[in-house]
Amino acid sequence: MPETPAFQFVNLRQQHEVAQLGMWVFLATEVLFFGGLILGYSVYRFMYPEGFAEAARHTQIAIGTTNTAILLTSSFLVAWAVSLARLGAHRLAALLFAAAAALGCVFLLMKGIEYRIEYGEHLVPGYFFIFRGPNATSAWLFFSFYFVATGVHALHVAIGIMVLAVIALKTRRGAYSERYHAPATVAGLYWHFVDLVWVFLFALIYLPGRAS
Amino acid sequence: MTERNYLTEDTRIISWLFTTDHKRIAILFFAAITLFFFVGGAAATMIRLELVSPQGRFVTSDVYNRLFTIHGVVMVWFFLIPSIPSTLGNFIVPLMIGARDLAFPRLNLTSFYLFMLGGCVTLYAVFAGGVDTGWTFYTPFSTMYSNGHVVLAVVGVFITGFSSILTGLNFIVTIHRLRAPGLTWYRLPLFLWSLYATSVILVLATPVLAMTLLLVALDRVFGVGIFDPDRGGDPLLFQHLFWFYSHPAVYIMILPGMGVVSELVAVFSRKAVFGYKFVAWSAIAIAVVGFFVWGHHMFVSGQSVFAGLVFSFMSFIVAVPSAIKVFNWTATLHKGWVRFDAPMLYALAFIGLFTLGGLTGLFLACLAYDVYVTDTYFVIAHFHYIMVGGMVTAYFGGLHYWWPKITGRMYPEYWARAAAILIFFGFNLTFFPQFILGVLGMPRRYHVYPPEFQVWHVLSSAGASILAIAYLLPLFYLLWSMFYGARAPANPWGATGLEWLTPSPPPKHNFEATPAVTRPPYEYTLSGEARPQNA
Amino acid sequence: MSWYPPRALVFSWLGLLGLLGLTVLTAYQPLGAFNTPIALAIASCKALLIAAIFMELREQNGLMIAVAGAGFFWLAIMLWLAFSDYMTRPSL
Repeated sequence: MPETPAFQFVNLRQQHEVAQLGMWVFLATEVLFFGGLILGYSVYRFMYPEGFAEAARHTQIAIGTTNTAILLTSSFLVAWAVSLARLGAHRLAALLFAAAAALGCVFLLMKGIEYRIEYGEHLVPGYFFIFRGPNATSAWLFFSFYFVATGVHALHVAIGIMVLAVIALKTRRGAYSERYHAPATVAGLYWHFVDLVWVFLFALIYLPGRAS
Repeated sequence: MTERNYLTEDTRIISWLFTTDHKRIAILFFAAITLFFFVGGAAATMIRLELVSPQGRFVTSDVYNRLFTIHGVVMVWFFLIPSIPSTLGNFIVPLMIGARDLAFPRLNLTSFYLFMLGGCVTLYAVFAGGVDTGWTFYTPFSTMYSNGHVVLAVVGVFITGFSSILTGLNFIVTIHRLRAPGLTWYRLPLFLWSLYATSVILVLATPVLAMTLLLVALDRVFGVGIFDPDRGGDPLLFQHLFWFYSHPAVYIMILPGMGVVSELVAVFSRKAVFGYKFVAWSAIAIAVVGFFVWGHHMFVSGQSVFAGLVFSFMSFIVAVPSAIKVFNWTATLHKGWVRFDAPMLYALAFIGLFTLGGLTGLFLACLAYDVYVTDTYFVIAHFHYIMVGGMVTAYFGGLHYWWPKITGRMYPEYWARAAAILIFFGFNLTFFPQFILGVLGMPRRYHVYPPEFQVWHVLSSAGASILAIAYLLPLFYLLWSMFYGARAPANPWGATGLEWLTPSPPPKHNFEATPAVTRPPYEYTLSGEARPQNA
Repeated sequence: MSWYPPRALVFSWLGLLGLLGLTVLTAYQPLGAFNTPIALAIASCKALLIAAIFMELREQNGLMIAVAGAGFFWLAIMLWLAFSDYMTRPSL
């Protein structure tokens, strides 16, 4: 357990603030990274509203909803775990971090199943795509965005799982306390952000066109 | 040298390769961007050689496409964008705020290796045959029809983009949280205000480029077709995404140069910068408003006229803070005790050349005029006046100014002044004829042209040959000075600023004790004595 | 030292799940042009809950909140100005 701050810092509090600020700046960059996709999606949805609505009906809303609930719950567990790590409750905190990581793995598993279903329904642009009806073109665009957006998101989830696993191990060994818990906090911020992005992706991918 | 400083601390190669010392990382970046400058310069040399004759004499059109693409890609992403932030910024920022290092030293080293990785991938793309799309990678040519190494080039730039993001992140956090006690925002030297504004752009704009390039690569590899008109895609979507980054990117390139000029103008007139707060906030204004103008690259692309109006109006607005800076620098010179050392020659050149480039930007912001000169040499001359006449000049100014601090040696002053004057002369001879060429109708990216344009091209190429020699001069005398130059004192220019409190070169952790700041920057007495910022 | 999760976290989690149910339900209601804004509004509420409670923004100083908002603000600029083109293009 580090008792002293790194040499460029005056005290641990400054180090903690700096770590948090750094992660928030990084998350701002991530908003814009996904934002490029959001712009593309929005433009094409504006240009092809019926096409996008029809294509969105072909997404697996049951899996999508379940996955959203999974990520929301994992975020809850991570937030809880961070508060426990600060209190020094190492074992429970580590367990919760590990549980959140496990839920992340379930998310990825269900995503994989979902991709498999979509492959079976011939909805993979550039690879295997058959769509009947006048909206084939816009459906192609919709599913292009679907795969890129959820693929990039899944990559972020995978990285998050590895980070949470490492944090879980370190928490188990008692690395974090009231005085020093920056890595746990910062890892939590990243995981919550990944959840936040998914909340928006869910609304844009699974919900359009359901009313008809 | 018997005393211990950051250079002599540990001389094993491995200590350099794994260093987290911001000063050493700055040196690593110096070496890297110098290398890329010469790669981009080699491409420029071949371009100017080719353009001497109206027929395509040395290279085919396809090769010519690859030449100007590589010139653009390398110069923008591997020279201009990292130039001042990753070299002078990395070295000076912690010193100027009284810190021992940046907030995240290991991220800094990661930034360097990402830069090198991206650079190697892009260089490989060059040597494997190059890319022919132009540095702008417009779709659907880049995604569907180009037979160059688009994916490689795009991946290289993508990787390097993360280097930029990490540098920007580091600077933002450092400037917010690691300032010495008493160093309030309004006591910060203007170099830091400019770098902060630059970092905000780096952090917010570059991720959009990353996503755009990712989509181009996916389009090309998997035929996804997001930008393909046959699939209902809109090529203009690419341009919106690309220029959302690339316009702010030009402010990434120029703002650090403006910061350097603020420093130079103060020191070499022995006066505080006139209207400090205006100059400071104008940097922020440029950074913010710079995000509102990207459509001025798309006036004739098929964008709606209404959008063109909005972007044109915004482009006029964004010129205002730049003009404020120029007025304030000029006012600083007024009744100052002006010394014409080499850094000041570069600063003065910047003010003149940037003004010319900036004014021609106003021409281009005007919708009707832009329709006439877009995609001609007028645009090329405009941005080279700003990027080369402005930014590269400021880079050399800053390099000479802080050279004693970085290396502990003085460069040979008369050689430096001669080089500065030669650069100024060569630069104008190269690029002024290009304004004329543009108005006469010479399109950009063409190597075959009507014979009546030849005289201007010959003048431009003559200038380029002078410029090439002029740019080589500093390479030689600066290298020479590292071994044989006079030893520099801690504050050879008699400047204010915390970086001049440390020895030249500084020790590894910069400051024995963190200085406490009590004064604003640029305080000089009437007899020209500097009042340092601490007690 | 209690092993119970803090109340704010539990209520946020339940609230988020409730909003998830709400957004799925309303997606199936024929509300015409309102479906999209409602879905986005609910998503924004969820995002605010996550940011304020899970990410502890409600306890942070102005700088963090500004940084957190900056990404979204700039995304809004990108969308707004790009749409100033798409929404004013003449229809063919």
